[in-house]
Amino acid sequence: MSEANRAAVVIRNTSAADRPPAMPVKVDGSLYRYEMIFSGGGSRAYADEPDELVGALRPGYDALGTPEERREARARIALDAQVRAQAELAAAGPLEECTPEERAVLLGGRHVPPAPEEWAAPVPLVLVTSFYEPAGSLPRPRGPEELQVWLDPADDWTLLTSLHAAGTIKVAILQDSP
Amino acid sequence: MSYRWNPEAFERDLAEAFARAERGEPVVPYLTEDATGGLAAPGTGFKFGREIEYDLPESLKPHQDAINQAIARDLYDAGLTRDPWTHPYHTGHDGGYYEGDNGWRLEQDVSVAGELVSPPLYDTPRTWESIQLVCEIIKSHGGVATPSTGGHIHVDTSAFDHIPAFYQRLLSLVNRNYFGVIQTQIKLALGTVGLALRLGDDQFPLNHHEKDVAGNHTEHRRRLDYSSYLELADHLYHRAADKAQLTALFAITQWNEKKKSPGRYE
Repeated sequence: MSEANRAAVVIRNTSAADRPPAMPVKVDGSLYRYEMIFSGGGSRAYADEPDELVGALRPGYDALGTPEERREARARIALDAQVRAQAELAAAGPLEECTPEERAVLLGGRHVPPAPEEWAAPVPLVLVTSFYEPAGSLPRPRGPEELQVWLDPADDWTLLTSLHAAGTIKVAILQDSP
Repeated sequence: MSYRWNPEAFERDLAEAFARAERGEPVVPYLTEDATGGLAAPGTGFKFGREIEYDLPESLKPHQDAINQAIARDLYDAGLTRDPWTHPYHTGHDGGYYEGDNGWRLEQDVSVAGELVSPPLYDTPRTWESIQLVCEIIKSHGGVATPSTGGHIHVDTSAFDHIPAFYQRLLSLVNRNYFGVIQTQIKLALGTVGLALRLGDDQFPLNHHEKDVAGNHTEHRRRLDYSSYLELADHLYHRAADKAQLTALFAITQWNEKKKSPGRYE
């Protein structure tokens, strides 16, 4: 397959009550190196390279010509995921135990990155590394590590693994993969 | 007309839904003019999309490819699609959805016989005619709805911008709890998105501040306790016709028992 048309193989996922769908194989019969479950658990993508998985998250990613365009696209994926992941964490609660100021930070618009000096609220805060030191200019909030969920769009793999850690997607590597 | 202040209206709508079922008529009414009460009005409402999966009886499954080709041809001849072909799974998602009346696309789906993916839609008579026509074409070739088939409803949430509060409200609402059914499901999704924008923080959670988790409705119906449904219907819609339509869907919905494990994946 040429570099120009590399793309992840995407299939519909089955529900947890059913058997997992049959894994697609390559022309030579071998399995793909990566598997990603995304779209709220509705789809599975299979690929040999991380950028192909990012392309499944953001159609058109593979056609972007420059590293800067790709960096911007990854940042948009992270920002979109930040809003949804933050909403899910807030819905899971306990939002009622947060102060009005903490609720404002959790639920406020992400047109400006949240910049509390410290975060110790019972609901974790989702942040995108691009805006905070050392990649950006904002100081990182102080506070317990487990109350900060970081999305890192620095490169394809950091984006995928950070989305995985945030629970937005699931990425798995073939066990006997080199 | 509030269901909560006029429970007899709900009882009447419910009884009429059962009566339609007994007469062999479509239980859920199908509206073609201003069906969503403005929720999906062109230009000002929410844009939405609908995927319609279908399967085939066992006797027809050996002929699935030929049947799909015939369905694709009929869809094209009816002006619903841009080509008479069946496309790979996820073509619309990956390559972009078509716009316009002929923007439907037939896609393969390994879990069922096939799937029709709509273009972005608004509440117009043409939209509802298209959905009706799509269903009729599928049925004419033996396509059926089964427990394996489903259909995602996509609602444009660009009005939420990048504000977690709206998504959090939407999640709180969702976690609480052949034509006509499809339309009513679409309206339910549209109404819920609208409600997330409209309600204030002090109105959450609904249902007397009790979590209305999946499985509760089976028990509620056994006790004839419809209070959480009446509240939701009142919040979603102000028109009597919309509530009656939703109640008809409510009447034919088979509610799941409570699951021990809420997670989708192990």
